Amino acid sequence: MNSGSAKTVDHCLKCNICHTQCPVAAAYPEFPGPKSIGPEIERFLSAGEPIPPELESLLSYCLNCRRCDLACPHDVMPASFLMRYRLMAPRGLLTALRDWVLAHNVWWGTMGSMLPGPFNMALRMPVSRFFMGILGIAPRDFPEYRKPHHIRCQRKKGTVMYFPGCFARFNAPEIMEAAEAVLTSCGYKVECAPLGCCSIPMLTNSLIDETVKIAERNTEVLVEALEAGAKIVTTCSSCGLALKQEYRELLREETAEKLASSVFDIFELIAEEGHEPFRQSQAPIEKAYYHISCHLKTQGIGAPAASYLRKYAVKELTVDDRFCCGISGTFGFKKEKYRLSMDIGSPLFARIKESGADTVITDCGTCTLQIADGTGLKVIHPLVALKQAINK
Amino acid sequence: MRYDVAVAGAGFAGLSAAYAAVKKGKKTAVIARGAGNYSSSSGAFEMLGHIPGRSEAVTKPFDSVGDLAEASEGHPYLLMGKEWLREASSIFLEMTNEIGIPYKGSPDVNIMIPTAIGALYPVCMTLEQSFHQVTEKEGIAVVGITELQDFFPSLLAKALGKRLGRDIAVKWVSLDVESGRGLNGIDCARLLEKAEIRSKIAEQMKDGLNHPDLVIFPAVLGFHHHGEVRRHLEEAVQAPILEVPTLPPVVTACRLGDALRAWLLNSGVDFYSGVSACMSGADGKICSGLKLSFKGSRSRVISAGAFVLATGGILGEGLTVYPDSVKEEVFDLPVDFPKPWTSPDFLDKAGQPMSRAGVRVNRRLQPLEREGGVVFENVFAAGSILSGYDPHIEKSGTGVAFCSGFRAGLSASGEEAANE
Repeated sequence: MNSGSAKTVDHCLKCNICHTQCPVAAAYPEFPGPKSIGPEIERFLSAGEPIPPELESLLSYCLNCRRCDLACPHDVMPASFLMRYRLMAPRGLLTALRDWVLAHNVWWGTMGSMLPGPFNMALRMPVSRFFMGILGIAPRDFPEYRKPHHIRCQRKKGTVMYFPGCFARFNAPEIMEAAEAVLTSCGYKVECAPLGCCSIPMLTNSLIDETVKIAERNTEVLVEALEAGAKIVTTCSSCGLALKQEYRELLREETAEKLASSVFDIFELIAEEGHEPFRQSQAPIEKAYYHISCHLKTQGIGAPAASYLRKYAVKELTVDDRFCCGISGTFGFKKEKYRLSMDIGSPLFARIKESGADTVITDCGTCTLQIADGTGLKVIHPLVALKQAINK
Repeated sequence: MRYDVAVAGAGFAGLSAAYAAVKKGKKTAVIARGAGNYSSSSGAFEMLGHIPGRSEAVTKPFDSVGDLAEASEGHPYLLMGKEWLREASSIFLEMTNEIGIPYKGSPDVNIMIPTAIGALYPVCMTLEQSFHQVTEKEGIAVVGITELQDFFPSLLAKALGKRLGRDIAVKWVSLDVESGRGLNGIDCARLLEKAEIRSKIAEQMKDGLNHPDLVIFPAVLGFHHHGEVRRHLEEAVQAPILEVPTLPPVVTACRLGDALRAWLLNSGVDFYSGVSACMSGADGKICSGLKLSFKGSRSRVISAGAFVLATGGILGEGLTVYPDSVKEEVFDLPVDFPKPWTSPDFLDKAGQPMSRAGVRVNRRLQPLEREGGVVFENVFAAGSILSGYDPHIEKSGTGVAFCSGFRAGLSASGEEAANE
């Protein structure tokens, strides 16, 4: 599954630089780190040996944060190896069912956002909690489902096809609303992609056939749009990573390459095209912490929102990309991983407290949940932080 | 995107260049393929430890810089000038204060720090709290951690004791952590940040050490909370602790590099990570931009007023070795490489010739054509990619990285370093 650009295991010098970046090894000493569980398993497999059983059981602990891929100066991508091995590892029936349930947030989200009141209430009922517990779901709050924001198409010069992702659609319609306002202010006609999930939750829960099916479908629809002249825009860093990188590794097709070359994070688009959709906010945030999520860092585009936040919306901004929040989409919703996921996030929570910020800003939906859980602070998307600053 | 200064490479040289540019108020980008290869260095500031071909260590690096001319006329130190090395050293100390990891020392005199195998390693500046001249201490004890791989306190104590002519005590402690694997320095440093684990270590260290003047400890005294970890354990042993670098990844180096990187990020530097770069165009002798490709995905161009090339040497892949040539692949600059390429004596005191391969520059650190003219007016090179020095033999890695990195950053910001 590793892409053609990833170098083979022979380029691994065992320098351990990947280990310095692994948030799981940092919180869970049993986890041997990217080098031992990526390139070193590859060495076993290429010699015709099976994956050592003591390593196999640890594969599900990888967060797919891809910090190791980023760290390697020799273009070896340990996380890509690892995601492939993970599909080979056996799971119990109940775990497989639980993983399947968590992977399909797009279904529960579609239902939940149709009837948010009763659905949210049902999720919080002790009896639902009880059954979720039996299934192996962590005793933590699910994000509230809300009515989605509907984007009204307007005729404009260029077109953007916006891929909002599950979190903006079902849980945070204000992100979609702000994205529409910003893109309209830049002069684009905005269309919402007629698609659902980006498939990352399926991939991390080993539902490979479904992942590939969704990846193929999404690629087909989005490539059609870009051939008609549209730019593809995301506001969720994990969706962005899927469209830019995961599909290329999964499908290994030219269409996926083509898609990857025309997907933009919304701030990446604004910066690259030199738009000026913002003015000074009349109600700037005093002190905020901008958490660069793993999947934003991994896109290799820097953190283009940071300079807009500093310039227009936040008086004192702390920016850091050293820490992982630990939730990794559905990982933190698994009963046996919940505590660990909070432990992984604890250096981040401490750093946020230390910064004195009362608002946290991040691009990633599930980071939002985890940080709110770990710090008790308000966590918002950069677009929402900039809401007061959008030129109408 | 347009920047004033774009730096290729995120090792010590690249980060130092970015630091200089930020200090001059420039909008700066750092582009790097990997995390920056600083985690393999010692974390101490080594200016000059050996003159190639001589067996005795340098005691006064500043005074000995001139002797480098014996082995190499194009040495980066000689190009930059002695006075610059002095100035850069004080800038380095200021920088470490600013980023919250204060160092101590001066280029006038080396101190000898012990290595994990008990050799003595000459450096001129090191972490303030670890700045101890081991040769002047009487009662020394070495502490080892049973879970830590590849650090053997008895080996260190015996070899160092022989060099110093005294007995050195050895003490083992245990983190009492079941991990099912050997831990490295980074793992231990993170575990020691947990108060309950640290307290167990402190308890064990109280016992069996006979009021030492100095305790030698593997460099695992915490990562983000180094001060707290050190205070706790120093109180327990009632003695200062000197950290000895372990096998890579080296915690002391990561502490410094990570803190500098975090400071830069917070000062508005854009980091493009996991990205390879090559020149996108030039107008005569002015380079206009870099094309960035992310692991083979969409490429895009960033333009900048000036560029710093700090992509590393052969190990860092700033230089690519082919069967009959060595190439620099960002700007396709001419590369000097010595012939013969290797010495048959692996541990040749004059060094392996290949270590000296690199890009030849002038005093302003602008890369040169073979005939001697400047290749680009607005490109400056720094760190291991420079030709004419051997960091392994000279023990000059961090020194060259910082002195040339900061200077290249200044030049790229349109400032001339003093004492040209």
